[in-house]
Amino acid sequence: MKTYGSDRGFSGEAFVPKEDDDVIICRCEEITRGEIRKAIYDGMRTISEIRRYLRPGMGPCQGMTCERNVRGILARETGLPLSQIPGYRPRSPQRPVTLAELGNESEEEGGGV
Amino acid sequence: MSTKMKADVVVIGSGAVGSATAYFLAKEGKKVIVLEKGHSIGCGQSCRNGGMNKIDGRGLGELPIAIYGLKCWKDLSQDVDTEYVEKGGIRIALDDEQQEYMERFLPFGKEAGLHLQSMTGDQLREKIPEFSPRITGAIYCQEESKMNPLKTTLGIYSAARRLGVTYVSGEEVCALHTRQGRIYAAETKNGNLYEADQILVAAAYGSRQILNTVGIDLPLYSYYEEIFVTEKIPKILDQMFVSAKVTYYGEQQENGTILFGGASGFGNYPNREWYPDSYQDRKRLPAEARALVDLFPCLADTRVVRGWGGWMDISPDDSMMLGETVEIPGLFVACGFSGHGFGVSVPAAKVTSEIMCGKKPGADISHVMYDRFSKHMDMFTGADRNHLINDIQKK
Ligand SMILES: Cc1cc2nc3c(=O)[nH]c(=O)nc-3n(C[C@H](O)[C@H](O)[C@H](O)COP(=O)(O)OP(=O)(O)OC[C@H]3O[C@@H](n4cnc5c(N)ncnc54)[C@H](O)[C@@H]3O)c2cc1C
Repeated sequence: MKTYGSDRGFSGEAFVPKEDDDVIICRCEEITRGEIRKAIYDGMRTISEIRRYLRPGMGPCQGMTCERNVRGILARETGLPLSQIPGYRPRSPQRPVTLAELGNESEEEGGGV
Repeated sequence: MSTKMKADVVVIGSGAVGSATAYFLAKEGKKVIVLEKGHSIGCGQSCRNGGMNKIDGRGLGELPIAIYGLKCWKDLSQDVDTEYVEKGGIRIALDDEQQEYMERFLPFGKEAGLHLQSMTGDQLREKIPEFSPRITGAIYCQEESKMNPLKTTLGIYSAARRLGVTYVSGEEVCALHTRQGRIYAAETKNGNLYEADQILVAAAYGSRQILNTVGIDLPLYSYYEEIFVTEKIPKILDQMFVSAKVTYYGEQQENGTILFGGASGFGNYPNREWYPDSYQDRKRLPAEARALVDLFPCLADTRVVRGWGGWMDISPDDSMMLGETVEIPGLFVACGFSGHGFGVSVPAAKVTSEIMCGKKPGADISHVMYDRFSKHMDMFTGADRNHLINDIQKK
């Protein structure tokens, strides 16, 4: 039975390109549909693996625009229902903040080098 | 539903160490199964680290393996896109005491063949003007390098899979089994049994519990560390950089982002030596942000995009634990990488694969054997173990 993250064998077949492979899915990192399909072909089976391997959703917008599409591609390529595929894991600080802002705690917090 | 599978080798843990060993063994024609407890391959430290290969200041026992790594990383990079860049690394001092601490390593490093160069703060800033005027001295190590840990870890998985290695994720090993004194199988929580003549435990901190099921105990502890990444900025430096005692570390990646992390062992923040079990709260990321601006004042307006953390597996002398167990033939160990294992993951995997194939290892592993602490095991239990570890470290 197929489940999320399972079915990791290598078929030995060549990667088959598709017509819409050059559509950009993640604008921040400029990653195309074809690159995501190729990552799945290379063995990536979870959203985290695709993100780490290729970086979609790791740019300044943190995946606001591409999450749905990447999940959709993984569902289609692996034959899993979309409901079984989780979204991106949110990471602080959620929205980019400058180092000065992030480090701006009160004096007694200490820190720095 | 339970299944039984057989292979030449079962590897427990799909981090860089486990996966790369599987990859090298597959190249030798072995049938290998890798078992990973998480859903995602490499989801432990190997996909959470800074990708820096620190050599200067390493435990001396690890040094031969780190030097073997210079070759192993280049060889691997022919096959896997690691983004390996060998442009050296910088260790930074903020005062004389730190400088003196750093320089202790020099004779050992030079004897091992490393190209190390001591410099003053001004000499450092001549090379890289962005460094803060507070830096008083530095040591440059030419052989140090950086790589992309995510691409590397998952690239090794992808390459191993092409060579026929079977990966099973969501498969947590709960016990090992022996037969007539030899290793025989690994059993998982899902009720599956994986039989093999050789089993490698490369499960980082998880290794301790797994080995306990066959009566072997290693002094392994876990320790939490955080790291963050900034937006892409124009190139400041090629070299990785760390503090004198490696309490923090950073690098600018090939894509222009800066990775920076550490134990926050600076300023008013507790050093690794003073740590409670973990130090995980909202103060850490801000403390690291201040540290990075302290080092590079020009980065104050650079934006932090994402922070994350990971649990490290720490050994009493901050060095890896390798080897075939004397207690149970066929059972191998590769863990205890102590927060700087990514840089040596590939050579450590290579020597492990060599000993598993009955070959002479490409580097001397006699000082990093898994059982070097066995005489002191009674010291490594109880609440105040950190102090005991530190006592041993100081010796
Ligand atoms: C924030 C952070 C920054 C770091 N920065 C650096 C750096 O810049 N340079 C450097 O050299 N090192 C760095 N390190 C350390 C480095 O990441 C590790 O030493 C290295 O990745 C260890 O590799 P590993 O394969 O032994 O462990 P891991 O990658 O942790 O792999 C162990 C695997 O075993 C699995 N596992 C555990 N228990 C079981 C079980 N019972 N059954 C099945 N599977 C199991 C885990 O899920 C995990 O995937 C850093 C670590 C952290 C956390």
